[in-house]
Amino acid sequence: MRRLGRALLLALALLAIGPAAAFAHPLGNFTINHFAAIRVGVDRIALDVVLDEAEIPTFQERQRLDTNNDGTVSPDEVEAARQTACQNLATSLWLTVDGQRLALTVDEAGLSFPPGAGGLVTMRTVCEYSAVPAAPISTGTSIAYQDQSFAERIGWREIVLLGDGVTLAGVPAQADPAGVSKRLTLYPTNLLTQPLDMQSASTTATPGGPLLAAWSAPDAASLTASGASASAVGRSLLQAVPGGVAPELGQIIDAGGLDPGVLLLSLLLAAGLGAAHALTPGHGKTIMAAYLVGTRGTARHALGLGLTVTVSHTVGVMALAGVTLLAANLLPPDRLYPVLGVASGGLVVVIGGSLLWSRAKVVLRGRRAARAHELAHLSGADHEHAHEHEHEHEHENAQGHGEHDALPMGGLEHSHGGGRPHRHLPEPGTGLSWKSLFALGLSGGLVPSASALILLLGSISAGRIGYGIVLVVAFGIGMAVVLGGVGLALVRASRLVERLPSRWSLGRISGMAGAVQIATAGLVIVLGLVLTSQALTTVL
Amino acid sequence: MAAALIIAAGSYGASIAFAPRVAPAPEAAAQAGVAPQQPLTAPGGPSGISAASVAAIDHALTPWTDNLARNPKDFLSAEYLGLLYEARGRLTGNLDDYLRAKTATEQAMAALTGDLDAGVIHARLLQTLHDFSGALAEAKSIFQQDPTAMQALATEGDAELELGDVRDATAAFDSLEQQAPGAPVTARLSRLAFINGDTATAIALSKQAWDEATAAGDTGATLGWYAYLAGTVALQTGSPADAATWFGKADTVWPDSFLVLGGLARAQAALGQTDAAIATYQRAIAIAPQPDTLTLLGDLYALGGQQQLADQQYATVAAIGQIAAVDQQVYNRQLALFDVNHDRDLPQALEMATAELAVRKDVYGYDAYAWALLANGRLTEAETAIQQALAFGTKDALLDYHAGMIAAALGDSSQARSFLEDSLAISGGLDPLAASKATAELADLP
Repeated sequence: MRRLGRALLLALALLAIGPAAAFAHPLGNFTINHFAAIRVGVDRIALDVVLDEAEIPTFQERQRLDTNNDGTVSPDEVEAARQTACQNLATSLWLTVDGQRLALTVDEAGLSFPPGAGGLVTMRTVCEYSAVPAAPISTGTSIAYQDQSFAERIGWREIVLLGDGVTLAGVPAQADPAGVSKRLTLYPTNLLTQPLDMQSASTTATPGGPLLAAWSAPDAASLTASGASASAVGRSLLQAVPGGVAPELGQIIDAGGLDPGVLLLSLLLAAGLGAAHALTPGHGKTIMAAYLVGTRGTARHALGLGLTVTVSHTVGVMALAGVTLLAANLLPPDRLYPVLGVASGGLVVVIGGSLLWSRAKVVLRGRRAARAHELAHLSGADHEHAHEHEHEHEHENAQGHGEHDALPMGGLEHSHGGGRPHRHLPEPGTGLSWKSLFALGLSGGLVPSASALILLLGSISAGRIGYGIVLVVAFGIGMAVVLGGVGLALVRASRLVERLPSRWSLGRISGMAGAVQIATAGLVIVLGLVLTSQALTTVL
Repeated sequence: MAAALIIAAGSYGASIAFAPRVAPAPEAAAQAGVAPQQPLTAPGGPSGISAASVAAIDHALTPWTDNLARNPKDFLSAEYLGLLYEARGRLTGNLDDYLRAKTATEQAMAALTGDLDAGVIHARLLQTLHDFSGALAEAKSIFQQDPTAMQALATEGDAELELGDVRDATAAFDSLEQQAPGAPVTARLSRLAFINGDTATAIALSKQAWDEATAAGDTGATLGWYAYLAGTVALQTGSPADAATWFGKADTVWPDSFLVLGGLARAQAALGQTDAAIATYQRAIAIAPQPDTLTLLGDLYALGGQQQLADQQYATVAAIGQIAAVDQQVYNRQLALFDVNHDRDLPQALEMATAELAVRKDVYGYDAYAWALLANGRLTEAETAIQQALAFGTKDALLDYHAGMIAAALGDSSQARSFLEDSLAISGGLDPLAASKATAELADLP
């Protein structure tokens, strides 16, 4: 992680001048780096093995992972690789007890691709093995470990021996289980620190001694768990979400010092990422647009919708982060994601259905009302154009229509011979309940962006929870600005269209407007169904 | 790819062993094979440290790293770390090792103002990292302050040769020959002779350098480098079988060297032993993925109809090009030629070749520029540039091939025929892809 965090400015530089300016892997861009923590218990030895491949070997490896040769490494291909990676690596790992090589059982595996230099990625393979000695450890049992993988390739090699209820000769009692390199995430920044090169380690064991704290690799998952690899920062979600995450994320999380300048920059960057995220396809913009047009929403509604998305997205990210951190075993995020997708899609269908229902009601009622309307005009009586409004539409006071009066008198806005100007189209915002607006915003924000989730999880793992929450809020605001902006633009645009002088008669326009509303309601339903079925395919 | 070969062989800085004023820890010295009073070493040869393996160097790094950590003003430890990391870089091909070496020598120079010894290493590292004018300025300045600093004179000549200043390079090497004769100078004179088109002398001197190094008791990578040089010269002068023998010899004294294996694979490919060449390239790439070996392996796959494997190698070359500025600086010319030969980003290739020529006006600078101009359809400029390259008199199949293709594009069939026939007459002088293209063009000529 340290390597990603050299400077936040770097992230901005990256955005500004392109990918070539990033830092390469700290140990050289074709190194393959090894870490192993060996926990020796009386009758079980557990191995935590990590491989960190720099950009070039990763590039070559990903060519091999792309088994269908379509030029991209799909989640399925990553998962297939994760299933076999540790078994393959085990053939190069020699764990011997009293000279006897032990078979290594793969308990968990993880495969992830942290961002590297030049727009390339690095590759992190995590293997959790266990081995059972032929006989329990007794006094003087010799233990040896050797990693023969990628022997010809240079890189960092670190082995940590740990006694778990066992005392190991020559091993300090307080050894850090994550090693000097903190499991290959923190390489020495001083260029002149020599690279560690431990290809093998050996010791003798004696039963007795303190027990180790329970260990569970944050970046590995069992092989039976479906979906891609798990990781402390939710990298599994990378593959689960369309569009993936932006490579700048790591640099935001790892901003070295949090002085005000850095903080401001990272907030701006997070907001920018949110805005960019909202611009990628599949974020309900079409649905929102259809809804706003269909309900003739106002600027207020557009902004409210954006705000709802922000709030629901932020809450959703935090909830999912909580689930990921606290209950990942019960509710793996990669399972949860499609379920959220189905829920979101279903919500859209429901909204579309209720929209359709209210439109249909109005059209039916409107036909009945038209007759009464004509009669009222003929008699010259004062009357209300109740239409399908839910709120009061008072015609008594012309000043209340200031906004209307200022408009050019088009076909839609007119007076019936000396009467007050009034419209025959539903008022802006009619049929739009804040309740359904919130529901729509919720559906837009329900499936959290993996980028935002990783921002939060990464910050938490870096011990900066508050910072992470602030970043996620900034991310949501970025999303809201774009989504609200799109909504606003649509509201303005549809209003303009309405105000164009029309050659059409009133009746035809009214009929058409009704048809448009019913069509948009239908569109919302169809899009909701599409979203739901897409999400369902990943669940089933 | 012969140009790439020369780059790999020639541009690494010349060096004289820096003799530390305080002997290193004895066990470390023994491990790393430190020769405290070694004279000049070859360009591209390990600098006074003929360590058998990276592991041995890493072991030797420990005491000096600890020393420097205890006392950041310990210029001797810093200098020695510079040497060790430089030697490590020559074994690993990892440019980051050179950058570490550079940092170490800079720390030494900061700790002891006017430390010429550290300056000498620093200048040589600039040369290795292809900052030729920086290396030249620094080496010249050191040599003016200390006329006995033969190593500075050597770096000066090396930099001049890379910058296309053959006259001054000749003067520097002649002066070296007078004052410090031996394998390192002979190797430099061999390369100078090749650039001047005197291939017979180049071959003889490369063999002589090997003999001198053997007589001087060199071992390991230091000795192996002279066999590598002789193999390279043999390959470029049309004797692939001799080249294979030399590279085999190099492999025995300097095993698991990506440089030697890359040379051996070229010789095998030139001899038509395609399967063996592919296997050797794969070994070299497993040790250190370098753009030139990846390209040549890709070419062999492509010529064998395995386009997908070929594309994987090419994609990796492109990825190396986009990683870091230092790679771009060192592999600029290789990447430009790669782009042109594989019809990739032609404007970018021309851009790189133009930038390279601006700072480095040697025979291969003009050649790469001409080749990129041709690919971009600027025929008359290509013609001018290739003439400037040919004016050096270098007899290299690659130059003839490029000149032939330019003449063909200009419609001068007889010139084209003559150049292409010359290029193909140097057996194995062209890499397989260029050879197949030259043969095809020759058959197509009216």
